[in-house]
Amino acid sequence: MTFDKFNRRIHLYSALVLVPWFLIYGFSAIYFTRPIGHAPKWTVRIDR
Amino acid sequence: MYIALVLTPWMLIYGISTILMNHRAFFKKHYGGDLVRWIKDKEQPYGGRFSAGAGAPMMAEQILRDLHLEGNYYTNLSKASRKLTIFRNDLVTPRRITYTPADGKLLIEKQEFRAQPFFERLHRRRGYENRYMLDTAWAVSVDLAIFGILFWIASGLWMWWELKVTRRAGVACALAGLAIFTLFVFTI
Repeated sequence: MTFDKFNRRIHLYSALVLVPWFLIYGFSAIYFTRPIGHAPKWTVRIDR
Repeated sequence: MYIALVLTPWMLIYGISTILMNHRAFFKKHYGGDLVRWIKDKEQPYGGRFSAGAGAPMMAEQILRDLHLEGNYYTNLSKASRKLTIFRNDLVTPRRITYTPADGKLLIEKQEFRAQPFFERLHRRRGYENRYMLDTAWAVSVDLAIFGILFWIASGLWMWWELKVTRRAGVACALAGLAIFTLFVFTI
């Protein structure tokens, strides 16, 4: 296997493994850059 | 490819800064305690007058204007208005200006340049909640970087699917990634 082919395969397979991370960082960044929605509300579960 | 070439500096910044942020403890040790160090730049009397009822932002903007340091900032007014602290968010040289009304003095400090805080500042600088054109332009460039990441995911998946020879191993890799990620989401 040539270096070029090895490089392409590593690039492809590592990207496929990391797809969920890229999706999370990509989408979460949209929320960081603009004030969309509201802060999550807390629900009282126990009060004692 | 062309989007990637345009966005190379942004990807490098976000990649490097994330490593540095993930290893904050190491850098704290490396810098001997705190990540940032403030150095006294100058101390001077301030004779500016504030209009009645001026709030902290108005006072901060007037002081920054008088010091020719206008730009993105955040401010904090201590209890009983004893001290006004202005943090001028400059990427390379952030400044902290402390105004003490009792003695009418301004203390101006600048942050010593260090790699970790510099990259972290670049990473965290974002958003449209400001009224400075350059900051808004940066926010637009961050949006472009986000668009680039999401586009590469879609186009990469498409290109992979077109390569029949790598489909099977690719599915295995994608499922492995998804499984590891899901495990983390529900366990950490």
